[in-house]
Amino acid sequence: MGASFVPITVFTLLWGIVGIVCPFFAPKGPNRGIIQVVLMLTAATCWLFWLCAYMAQMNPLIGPRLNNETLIWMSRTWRDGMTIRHDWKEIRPFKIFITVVIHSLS
Amino acid sequence: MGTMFRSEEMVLCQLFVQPEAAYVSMYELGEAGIAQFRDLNPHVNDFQRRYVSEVRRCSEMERKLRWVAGELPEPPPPPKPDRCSLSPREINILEERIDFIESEIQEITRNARNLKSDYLSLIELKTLIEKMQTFFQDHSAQRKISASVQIYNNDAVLGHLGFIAGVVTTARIPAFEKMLWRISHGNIFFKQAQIDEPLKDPITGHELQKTVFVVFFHGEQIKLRVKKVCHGFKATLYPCPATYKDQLDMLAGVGTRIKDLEMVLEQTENHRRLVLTNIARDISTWMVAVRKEKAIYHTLNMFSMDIVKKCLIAECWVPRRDLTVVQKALENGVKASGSPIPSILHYVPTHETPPTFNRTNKFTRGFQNLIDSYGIASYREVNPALYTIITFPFLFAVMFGDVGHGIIMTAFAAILVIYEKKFSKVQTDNEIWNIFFGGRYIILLMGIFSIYTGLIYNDMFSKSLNIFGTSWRNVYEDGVLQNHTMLELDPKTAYTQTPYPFGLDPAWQFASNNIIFLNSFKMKLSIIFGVIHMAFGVTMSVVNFNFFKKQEMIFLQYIPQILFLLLLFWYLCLLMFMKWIMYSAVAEDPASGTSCAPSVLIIFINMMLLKSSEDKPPCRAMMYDGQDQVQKTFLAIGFLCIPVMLFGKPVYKMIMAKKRKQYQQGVETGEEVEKEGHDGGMAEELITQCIHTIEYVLGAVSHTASYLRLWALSLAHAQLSAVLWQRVLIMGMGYPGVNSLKLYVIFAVWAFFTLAILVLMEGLSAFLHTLRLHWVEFMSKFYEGQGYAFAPFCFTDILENEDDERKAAAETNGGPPE
Repeated sequence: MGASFVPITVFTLLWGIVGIVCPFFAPKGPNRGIIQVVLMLTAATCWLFWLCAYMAQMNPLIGPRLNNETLIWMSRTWRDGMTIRHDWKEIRPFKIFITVVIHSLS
Repeated sequence: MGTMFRSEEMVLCQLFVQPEAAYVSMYELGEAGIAQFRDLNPHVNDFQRRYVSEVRRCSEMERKLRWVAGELPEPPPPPKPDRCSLSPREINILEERIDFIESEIQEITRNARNLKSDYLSLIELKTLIEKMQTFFQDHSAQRKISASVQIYNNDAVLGHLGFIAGVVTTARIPAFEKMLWRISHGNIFFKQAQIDEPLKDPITGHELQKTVFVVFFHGEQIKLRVKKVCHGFKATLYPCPATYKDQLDMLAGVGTRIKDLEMVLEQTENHRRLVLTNIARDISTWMVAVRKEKAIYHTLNMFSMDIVKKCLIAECWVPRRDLTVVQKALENGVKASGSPIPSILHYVPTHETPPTFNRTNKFTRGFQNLIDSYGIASYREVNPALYTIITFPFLFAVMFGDVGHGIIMTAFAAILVIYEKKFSKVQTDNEIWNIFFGGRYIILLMGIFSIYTGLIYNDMFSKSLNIFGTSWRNVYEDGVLQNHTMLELDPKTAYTQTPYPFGLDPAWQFASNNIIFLNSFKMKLSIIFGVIHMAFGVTMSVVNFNFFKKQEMIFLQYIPQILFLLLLFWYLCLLMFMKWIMYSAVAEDPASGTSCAPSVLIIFINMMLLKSSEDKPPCRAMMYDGQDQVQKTFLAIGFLCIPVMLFGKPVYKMIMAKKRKQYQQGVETGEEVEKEGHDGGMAEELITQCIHTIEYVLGAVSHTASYLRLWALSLAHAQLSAVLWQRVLIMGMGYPGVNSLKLYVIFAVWAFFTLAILVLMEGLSAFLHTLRLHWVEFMSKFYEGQGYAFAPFCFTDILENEDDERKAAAETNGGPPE
């Protein structure tokens, strides 16, 4: 099956934190309820949207039809998908994301 | 869920106020803006009410102030914040002052006018004499005339030439000359010269083009006629001496008089300016005070008078949470008036429907307006605006999804939000600007969500970002690549078997068959979100039923409705998820391979039409065992829900009515009249329910289909963006060096169309479609919208509205009314 553990966990956790954990820490006041609803709905819609996009690609039934020049360019400039996936910590956005998370926690 | 979930609870209050204390209390309530007063004398003519003279007095002051403001050379500064009411004495002083200022300015203006018209005639006379001198002297041919004129004048001998000089409007000259010619049968001599510098009309201030003329004639008879003609043409005649010496003397005299008048005029003007600048500082503040005063008396006019007790009675709707404020205002009024009798606040139980009041802040106001423009919520009904805060920008973003366009939109809205204080001070009539500014938080959220959906669609100005590394790789050898221009990657070999972790794979952006893939994805997405959105709306009705104590409706309406929706349409969504999981290009079992993947839509249609399809080995017609039975059960339950929706409510009502009647019969003998009335109601009830049921059942189908607009608009947006890139921006790219200049121009074109068409127009159309999805597809499931808005007595609203009205009046009349 095409599902991979890491991205599903990461994004579900991320939106779970936004939609389930964050509402508990919404600032007190007359607008607390509104902020909670906003957070929950945002998390629910965004997570489902991501999930649909992910699941639609899990088991592709057709592949992209590409120009031969594009194919050559792909294999030269984009590194092979397989190698990249195993060392995903090397990817910069993840690094930035993780450092941001660590900073905000400490 | 805070303040927005339902409208506020309202209380009908009765206020008993002493007339002396009423003014201050009303002032405080007007500042707070929390009470909607009801007119207790609706049958009394406006002119017969108690405080008519006060209202008239205020209107008069307002008119005077407006006239004075119109006289100001530049618009007055904004009013000073002044939060305390004026005492009656202060009002009197203010009125006297305004009267005095008005009469003073009128006086000055009148004087200035008189002086100016004097000045004008002197100037005319001066130019007249100057021109006359040229007529008399310069032309040798006229010497004779001049001589004979002199003789005529000096000796008063009949039979010589006489002349009349004057000034007439230039436009009338041709007609004037012709008329003179006719009446004298050609026996006159007409000379004219235009006055070069334009003169100003003292009253209107317009420029006047005038011409000096001299008419020479012979005999008294003609003189009379000429004078008549001059009068008819509104020419001003001036006595002009005939001799050169007299003319010079007169000219000198006129010159000194003009100089004197100029001095006087200047002084008058200075004085006027001084008076106006003195009041310019205060005029707005006074205006505000007078308008508040007028509004207060206007409200007091709605009160009824208890003649015996000498106190005013008012009725008003007040939010329950603000009752203390009202109480405080009443107490302050009593304190200020020093009256020993306190004001009384008293709740009135009523069966009337209270007004709907949703307390909003600057963030939620825009969303509330979106809902209110469909219809004001019924009293205490669930307010969809709360959910609209997220669902609206989200559904918009599904259609508008593009990182680049989203960033543009977010930046625009962020500027509006960051500098909102600065912008809100600037009052403009520009409607488009006001709409954008009013909806700045909506636009901001729409922009942010567009960035997110753009990232998922992996679309940025029709280009993709390869952040996580694509899941597709090239599997073809060099030889194959050289021989074929287009090659399709096979998911069996070229796919890494783990999808791109966030959003769509960037490889699809280059693919010539990306529309096939995107269509299938976006259509499914639209239906999934549509069904969830509708189910959410239907579920909202439960909250209403619970709140309004109609629990039976949960079983009679909600459960059949939600079952119908979920069993048929959510089942369709489940099939989509199953197809995504179960079928794979690398499946070992050929029945779940690429060639056997079923069309979800066809399965659904077959389910509806009760068609059975047969297995075509190796493929299976059904996705799982027992699917046929499950589908038939779902269908049966779904359709069984329709009669429940149709007859549930009327039958329930009938049973309840019967029970009540039995109970009544136990108490007293039955009433025939009521029974008959009820039968008519029953038929009506059935028809309404029938309409509702048909609407819901057909709506479930058509609304689900309606959500496909999410797919259609998103596809259109992506395609337009791609076309713009390929057809416009690509032209500027290519050979480096020479093309950089071309790119400079082409980029401007591309940027213009990106902004004008993709962001502005597509944004507008996506906005409208989102609005429709909310108003029709979402809100029709639970929203009644039969309420009326709370319109409190509030100074800020009154002042703003009057400003708007005044501006509108100024535009139509072309100037401030005097």
